[in-house]
Amino acid sequence: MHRMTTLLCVLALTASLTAPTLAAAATDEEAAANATTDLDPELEAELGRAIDLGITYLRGQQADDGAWSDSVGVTALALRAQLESPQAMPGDDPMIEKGVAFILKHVNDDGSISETNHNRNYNTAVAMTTLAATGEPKYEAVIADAQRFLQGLQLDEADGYEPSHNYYGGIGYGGDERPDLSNLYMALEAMKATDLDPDDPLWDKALTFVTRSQNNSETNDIEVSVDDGGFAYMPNYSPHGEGRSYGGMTSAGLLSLLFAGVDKTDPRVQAAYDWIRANYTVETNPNATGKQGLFYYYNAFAKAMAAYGEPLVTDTDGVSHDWRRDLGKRLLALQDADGSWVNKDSSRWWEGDPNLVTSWSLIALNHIHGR
Amino acid sequence: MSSEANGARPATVGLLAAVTAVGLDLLVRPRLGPVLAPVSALLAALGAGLFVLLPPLEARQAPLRGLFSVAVLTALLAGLLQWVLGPPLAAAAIVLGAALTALLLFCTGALVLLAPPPWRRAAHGLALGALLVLALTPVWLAGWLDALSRWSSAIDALIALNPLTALAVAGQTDYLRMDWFYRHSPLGSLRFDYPRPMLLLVGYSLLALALGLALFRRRHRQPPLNRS
Repeated sequence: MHRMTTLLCVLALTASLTAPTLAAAATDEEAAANATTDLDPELEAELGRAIDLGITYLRGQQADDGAWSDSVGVTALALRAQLESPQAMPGDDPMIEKGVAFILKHVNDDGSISETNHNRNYNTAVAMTTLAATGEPKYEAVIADAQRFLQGLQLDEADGYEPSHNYYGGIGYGGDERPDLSNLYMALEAMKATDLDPDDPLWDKALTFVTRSQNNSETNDIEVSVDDGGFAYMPNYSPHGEGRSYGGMTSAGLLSLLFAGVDKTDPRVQAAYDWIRANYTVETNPNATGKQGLFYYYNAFAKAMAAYGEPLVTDTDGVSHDWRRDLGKRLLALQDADGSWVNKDSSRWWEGDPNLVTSWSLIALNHIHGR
Repeated sequence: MSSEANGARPATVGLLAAVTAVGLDLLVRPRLGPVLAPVSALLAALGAGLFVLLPPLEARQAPLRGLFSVAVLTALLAGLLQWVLGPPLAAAAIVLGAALTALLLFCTGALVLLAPPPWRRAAHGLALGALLVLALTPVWLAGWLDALSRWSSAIDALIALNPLTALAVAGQTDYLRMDWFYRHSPLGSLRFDYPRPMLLLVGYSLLALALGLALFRRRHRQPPLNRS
């Protein structure tokens, strides 16, 4: 009897001691769960207003011919930002129709969609993604031709490149010059958005180039000068110095792997995600020079995180980050009073153009909103 | 022809220029890779013009006609090399490339020949140096290009003034995005447009006309050598 009383006392004591801990743990998990599914309503409302203001800015910048910045690429991104916004601008909105008409005016005989000869990949790819986003079946033929054009840009045996060549499977700006991961990722995004057959050889060839652009000796069959799991612009080359991995390209690399159907448990995906954990920040484009490519990073990071599907990123110090909240707040802080965003520190990769940067920021915010 | 002043027969100089151009093309083409292949023939013809055809003119008192002949020969070499050894290009692109190469040579040659004869050798060296400096503006201006790009027309002007643009535009070669330039200059990552070929053709033609006129007037202002 005495033993039973002692046991009950011990159990009661244990329970009383552990209860607050368990309760605290439950509260943490609950908070994390809330963070994973819902943004703080106040923040969500603020982001909604920022999106509205950004769209109003963009609509005020459209030229009479329907274009933004005289560019098929910027026009397509501005349209996509509106089509995918929480307002879900309809495809028959007059401004959308005018923008689409500008894009269609630049469909070329070779299937490319571009106003210039030297950005044909980017322009065609983002135009395809936008035409798909309208949901209009009438653009299917244009999209199919554009798919064939991008397939033709991929460097492979037909261009004299064997699978052992570092360029193999890559896509460049569109003038048959050297390929890079940024151009390839945009092309893969377009192919994914327009439902290219998952068994098309383009995916496997692309994975050869993507894998070689990753600074990961475990999975890369070429010798890499950096071995941190992140991605460079092309094998062993980064515009920010030597073969350095950086945020924009690691997000683009992670997206490329996921577009190509690589599983989340694949060591390449895990290495890329681990790099993001180790370099987590929304203040800068991690590991890049100054503020170069900052909004490209925000855009690719938002899409990569949304595609990866983990709402919380636990960095290598064990701190959890709600990437949607962090990036949302950062973009709110960077928005100008007129609703636009622009990179005030660097014009590289066109980030001096507010139409482009506003479109990228809006697309990032749309992903934060979960669309 | 012009080379008579140096004692060499025109046919010999022409043959030497042709051999030099073919040799340069064969030497340079594999190093440029497939992207710059259309530029190789034009570079080779320009090289032959600048190093073989132009020097014999430097001793002449009235080199304008000789310079014109040298430019025509350079155009022929460029067109032939492009047609025979180059990648398949439309006839219009071959003619345009040859014309721009000849105009580039004419303008450079006229600048050299505008100098008094004793200084022409030095002027030739300076002109070659200036061509190199202009061709490499994307590299030596690399640190300032991002700031300069706030004025998009400044970037486009810089590209239009680059002699490599004159050689690349006919073959629609995006040379600023080729591996070497992209690694050494941010220019390829900025917003830019290559000039329209016709704009370059008109621009270089007007410059050539102005320099040709200056050379012509200089000849008529100079006293005959044997007056004293």
